[in-house]
Amino acid sequence: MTDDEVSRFHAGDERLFGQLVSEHSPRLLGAALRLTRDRAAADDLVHDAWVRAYEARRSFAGHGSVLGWLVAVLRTVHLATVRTEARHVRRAVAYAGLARRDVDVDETADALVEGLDADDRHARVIHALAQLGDRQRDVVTLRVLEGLGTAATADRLGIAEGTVKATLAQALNRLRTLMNGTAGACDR
Amino acid sequence: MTDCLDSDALLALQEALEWDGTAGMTHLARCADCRGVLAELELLHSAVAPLEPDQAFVSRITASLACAHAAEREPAQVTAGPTVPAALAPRGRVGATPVPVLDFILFVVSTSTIWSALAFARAALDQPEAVSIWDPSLLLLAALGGAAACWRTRREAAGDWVVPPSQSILR
Repeated sequence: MTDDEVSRFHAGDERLFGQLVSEHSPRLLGAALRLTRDRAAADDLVHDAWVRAYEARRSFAGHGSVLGWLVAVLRTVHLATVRTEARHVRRAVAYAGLARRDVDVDETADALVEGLDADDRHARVIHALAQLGDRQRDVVTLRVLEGLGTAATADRLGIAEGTVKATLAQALNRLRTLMNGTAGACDR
Repeated sequence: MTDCLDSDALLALQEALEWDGTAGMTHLARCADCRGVLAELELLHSAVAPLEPDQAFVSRITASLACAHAAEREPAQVTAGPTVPAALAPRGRVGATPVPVLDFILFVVSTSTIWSALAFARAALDQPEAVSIWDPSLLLLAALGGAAACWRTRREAAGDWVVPPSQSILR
């Protein structure tokens, strides 16, 4: 994004957001389908994520990857949705007189999501990507998902090419840790 | 052989392996960690594989963003500004400072009216001659406060005066 585009993004320029919706919705929809496993729910999730992204647009640093930031927003909205649904279930159970007061809804919902996603490596990698730090997520998104070369990524992020390579290696290690609980050992 | 890599892919591979492709491929064949990373990259790439949305879906998002944009601007337009004239100006011309000036004025007028009415009653009981001095000003104050409150309430009820729920006189 140019400085002008960043200003327009932070100001909530409707035309710019329209372009971004057209550009990034297909990938967000793909990720949402991995998370929800249901097309209608995926549509709703992407819709809600865009609204949330619009509301939180000033938290986007500006020179990183919009797609990476949107994936993080998508995951946040997904978790919030699951937590809300878990609360509804707990309320329904409470009405039926079966409630356990000591159950933490958020923790239960997170555990539920992790359990559901444990068998789905695609969902796990999306969760892991969203949990990376901004710099690592930017590098992974630009290099792996958007197909930029090392030089272009360095230029986009305003960092050295060596930093891009090192950050990518660290990010992949962190991804592996988040996904499997182990770090990669190979450093050729 | 359809499984063979095309020239571009092989060239990219050689470039990526710094023109030492044979050693690189040999390492890859032996190193489970590197193959693991390759698999993770493939997984990551396919996890966010694009899925073409239909146009209605894109339009729905765009419309929702337009609504969010409008809703974001609306409170700023109807929140009273820093001065009394600005606060009393019609919707759309009010400053953006979120200070409920009008509510404050109504509060002051109402409070002073009640306080004055009580003082007036006490004066009427103790010193009947004081009533003649305070009577017109108290009546005028009460009338102004009441009229202002009625005027705003009617506008708010009619939907001409849109304010956030926290500032509503009808809440």
